[in-house]
Amino acid sequence: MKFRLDPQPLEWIDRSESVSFRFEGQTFSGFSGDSLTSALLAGGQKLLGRSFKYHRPRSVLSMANHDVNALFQSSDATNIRGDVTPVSEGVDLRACNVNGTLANDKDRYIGLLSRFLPVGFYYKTFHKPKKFFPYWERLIREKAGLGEINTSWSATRQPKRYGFSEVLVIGAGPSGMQAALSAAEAGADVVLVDENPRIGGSLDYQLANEEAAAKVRADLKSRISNNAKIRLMEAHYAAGWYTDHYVPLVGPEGITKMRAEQVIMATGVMEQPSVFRNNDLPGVMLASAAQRLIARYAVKPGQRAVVLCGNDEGYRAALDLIAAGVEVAAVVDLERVGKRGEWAKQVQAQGITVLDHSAIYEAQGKGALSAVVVAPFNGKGCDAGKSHVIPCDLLLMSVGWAPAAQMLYQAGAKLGYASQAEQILPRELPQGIHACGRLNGAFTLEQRLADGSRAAREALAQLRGEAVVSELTVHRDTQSHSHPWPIIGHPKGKNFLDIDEDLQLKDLINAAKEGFDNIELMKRFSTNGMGPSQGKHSNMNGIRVLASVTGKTIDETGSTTARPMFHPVPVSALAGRRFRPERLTPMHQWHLKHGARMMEAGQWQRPEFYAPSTAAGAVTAAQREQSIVQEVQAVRSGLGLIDVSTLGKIEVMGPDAGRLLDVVYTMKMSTIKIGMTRYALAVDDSGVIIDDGIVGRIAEDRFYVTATTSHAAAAFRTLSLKIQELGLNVRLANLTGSLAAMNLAGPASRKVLSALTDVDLSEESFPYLGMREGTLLGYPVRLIRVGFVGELGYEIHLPANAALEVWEKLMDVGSAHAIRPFGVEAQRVLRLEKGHIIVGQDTDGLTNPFEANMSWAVPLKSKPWFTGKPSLARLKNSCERRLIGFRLPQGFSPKSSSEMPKECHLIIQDGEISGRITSIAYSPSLGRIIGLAMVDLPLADANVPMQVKVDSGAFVAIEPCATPFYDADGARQTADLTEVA
Amino acid sequence: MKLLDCADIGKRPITEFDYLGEIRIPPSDADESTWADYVFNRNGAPGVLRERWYHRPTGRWFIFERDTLTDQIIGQVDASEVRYEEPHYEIPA
Amino acid sequence: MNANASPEMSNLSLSARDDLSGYLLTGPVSAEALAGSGLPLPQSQLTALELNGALVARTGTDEYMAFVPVGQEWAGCEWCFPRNDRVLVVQGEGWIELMLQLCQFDFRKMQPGDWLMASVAGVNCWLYREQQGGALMIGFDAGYDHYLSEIFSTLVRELGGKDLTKGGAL
Repeated sequence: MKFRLDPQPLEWIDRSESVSFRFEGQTFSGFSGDSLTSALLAGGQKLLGRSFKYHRPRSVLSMANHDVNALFQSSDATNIRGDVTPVSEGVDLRACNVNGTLANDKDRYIGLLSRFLPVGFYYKTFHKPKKFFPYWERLIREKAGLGEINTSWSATRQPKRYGFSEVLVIGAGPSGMQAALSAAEAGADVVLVDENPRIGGSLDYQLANEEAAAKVRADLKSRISNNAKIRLMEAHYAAGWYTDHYVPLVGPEGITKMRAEQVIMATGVMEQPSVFRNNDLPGVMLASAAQRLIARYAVKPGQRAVVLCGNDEGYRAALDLIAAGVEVAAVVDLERVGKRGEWAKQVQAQGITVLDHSAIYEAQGKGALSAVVVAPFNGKGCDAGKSHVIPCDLLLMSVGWAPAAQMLYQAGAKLGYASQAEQILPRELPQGIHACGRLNGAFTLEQRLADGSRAAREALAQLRGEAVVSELTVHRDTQSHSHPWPIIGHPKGKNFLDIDEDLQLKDLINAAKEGFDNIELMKRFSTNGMGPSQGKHSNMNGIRVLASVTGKTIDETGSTTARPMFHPVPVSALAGRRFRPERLTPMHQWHLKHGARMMEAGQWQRPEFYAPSTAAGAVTAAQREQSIVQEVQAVRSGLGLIDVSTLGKIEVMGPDAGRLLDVVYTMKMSTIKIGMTRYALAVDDSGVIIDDGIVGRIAEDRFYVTATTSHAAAAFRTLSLKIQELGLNVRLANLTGSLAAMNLAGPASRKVLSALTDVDLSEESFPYLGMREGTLLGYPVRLIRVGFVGELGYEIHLPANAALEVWEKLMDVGSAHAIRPFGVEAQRVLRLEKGHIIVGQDTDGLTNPFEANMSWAVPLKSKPWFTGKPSLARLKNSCERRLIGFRLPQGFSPKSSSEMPKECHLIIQDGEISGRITSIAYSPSLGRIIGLAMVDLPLADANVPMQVKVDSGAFVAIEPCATPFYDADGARQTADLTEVA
Repeated sequence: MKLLDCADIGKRPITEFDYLGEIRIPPSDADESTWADYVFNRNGAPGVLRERWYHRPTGRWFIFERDTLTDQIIGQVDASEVRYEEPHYEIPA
Repeated sequence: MNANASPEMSNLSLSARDDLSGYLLTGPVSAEALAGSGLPLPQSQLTALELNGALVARTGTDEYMAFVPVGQEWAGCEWCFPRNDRVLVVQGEGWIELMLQLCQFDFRKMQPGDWLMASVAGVNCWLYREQQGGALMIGFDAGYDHYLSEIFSTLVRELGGKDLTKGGAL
């Protein structure tokens, strides 16, 4: 393999372990430790991908995950970033974004149509004539996008975990390693993170051949591995900064959600390309990319190179090329070699030609670089007339750096352009945030190490709550490492700023001229920085261009906001385990064994209905309907039992207990007699109904409150809040989970229950709406006569660990009366037959009690205050709608479900919406369909049939009628088939 | 995510809390526009607000003073400082 | 935290405490009732004390949670309510790693004798580290038993430990 070098001192590859894989139908062989790209290059593959818009041939640019030229697809993953994804045995890859094969991409001719595809073209072309737009839209959608998703891939989840540290250091280059060590050696608990599989950063690829660096490297790395206070997390990147130093670290096994007290960002700088015609050809790459290829993967990046320099680092790269056996044809310096340091002298000592005040005007080659056109450069532009051609297959660009400051911005740091450095640098850092190394403008090895120590010192001082004066600028380099204008115009264009987006220099200039001359508008109209790399290799040049076009400074031009995530994060990592709490009642297993089909009620599981024991698995709609009807009939004619353990249950005790309840509920609770209950309606400050339940009085200073399942926690919280606000002497106990509850309902309920309890159930002793305490099967119970389903019945509240035994006993004893368990659906029908509302079903976010026919629950003169009183006083006589009962004709039975009126179907009168159905169901007791509807006045009072629009678009007539539909005088609440024995 | 530093329970993540908004006292015997202002309007200008938070796992209440411009919590307030007498409202004759 | 623990056998284990009866006490006579029954009485809020197999935590000005060995007689008091807790116990190597997947708290700082109330996998729980041995007790409403036990069991086994609530086998 003539592209694989002899072993390099710091290489990542393990030559004893070869790995083979396929790419575009060909087999390649690499080593363990290779990335996909390095193995492909080592195997002689020149072409790695096709660009987004014009399908131009592409290869390595940054080798740092700051571009997506190498984007691959396998059978079970897409958008694989070849530069940074390790090779794996047997993987079969092809390039994304090609029509056909990479080599013969049928869409490669799109580039010829580039005149019709300027920036923002989809706003301008193709929409006239209008009738062809759908065709163009389909075509454009097909061509746009990267990668293919296979919807039959299985969903995977990677668990997440929390982490905690005193100091989090992001980036393990020299300054990060030093910062971590300084902090740990002073006693702090440190986590050191680096996105690469190994620590070292640019110390290992840029200074791989530097003698002076070797000792520092060995020392730092050995001290880190021996320091127990440093937790090292390699192959993890920090995805973003969130409030109070919450940083998700994304690694191969998933996300660690790290909470730090101090964060030191040593994230370094991102190398920036020069802009010139065909700067995207395979063979044109950043200098640090070539250094990574050589040092990490022992890959020879080319045979004959030209190096474009705007700084010292380019000369270091030239020396590395020479050491790797690459012929360096020339160094092209944007300024003068005399300005440069030691490395430049060494390059010249090798006899290499250096061209001062020159730039690359154009790269040439068909599918890959074969020559560059060099021209004199005056700092602003090139003199094309005096150009000459240098044949080469490799061009390194070393023109400057942009800080990897994304997380600094997210943390609220203020940065500004330092003209001496020609780099944006931190100016003001918030509490707990520190920056060091090249990110902070320290460039020599000594400066970076000193800056890392400084940052650690300042972090530790803040950790200890000591006052600290930040010496942020003390170790910054005085000379610049970036050229302020590596941007070369060309009449024929194809000089790219954003390589991801195929964005040319003229696109940006035209956008500014069209008026998109603010950095935020420029970004969105031109799409600069909106591709997968999110501006890592293009934002800085974009800012420079906009500043130049508008005549503003870099600081005045500003920068767009960098948002998480720093690199794309797989959905499987974000998904984590699925924490979706589920709460079960003590009778849950019994319900399942007896055919219950369960439904969710918030976090709880409740039986919706009970299917016959002969039914297995899914049940038809007709079978479900039949079960519900039978359950309703059982309650009306004999006996039913429902598990209502999910209800909120709150004990309220203390001298001010009555006062508290008077404030929270509309009715007067402090006058309830011991042993009686009262309906409890709660409204909010605006008078809107928020919950209902009952309140029962146990003793002078003790009440028992029930609330709906979904509102249980909020009811407890509201009571607790009022105690706080008013300073009341009350204690609460939330018994929702410790007590279970069941409702035994039906004419036979008194007879069956009396055999099991010591409580006197006679009508005189225990009237409707009463509450009694006693024992049931030896267990302490509270019995409440509630009216929700409209039959004689007892709600039994008892300790959770007694519930199953009592339930089973009731089912056993009740079998003589054909007892049936009934579920939520049957209960909804039963209460509907009585015209009882369900809060949230028949009421919405604006319903007040008057609209729901509940003025009886709102006495306005008996209490000085309750929540919502002033609103209710004003709403009482200004209703605009009212809840009414209605029914459908007997025998109404449409052929299809689309002809059946349903919940939320609208009532239409004279072409206007005049109401909606809130509840509707078949009533077994009445033999016809009944329901409730919220209807505008005066229609609600007109007592005329109304028209409901159903799913099919047809209208069905409904007839208003009085509620309750069943047992209007409430005789059934006390009726009893037989006398109590 | 934000941490709330509370007396007795230390620094706890914001996801363990319910946020109940600015502490306000309902006006007694208010005319309609005063009452409507209390019910429907909220203080949106940047400034320091006293706000109530409910820590669900412990059931405890916390009151913080927060600068809404910077979203920094600048102090914790004892419940006794924001207690009020039960209001009253008489139906006008 | 360099990598997840390898799934070799560690002494991490999950078990349950079925030998405790839980109670909630509230009101001015709570403290007396506890002291009168020989149960420990924590002085500061949100702290807990163990004594002779019983565990008492103070959760309010005059509110307590008491866990008393089943069968042990004690007087109770007027405003005393039985609780319906399920109590799991996690102990051994890797217990912190396990808990960090479920609860946002730095468990390295939780000492034996410490009491905590936090959200574990979305469920409000109380947590207590036993004085002897430092095992972590996690208590929650038994309605969440199926949900949380399943989660703890999965995690314990993933981390190479044993779920002893299922009869001791792996």
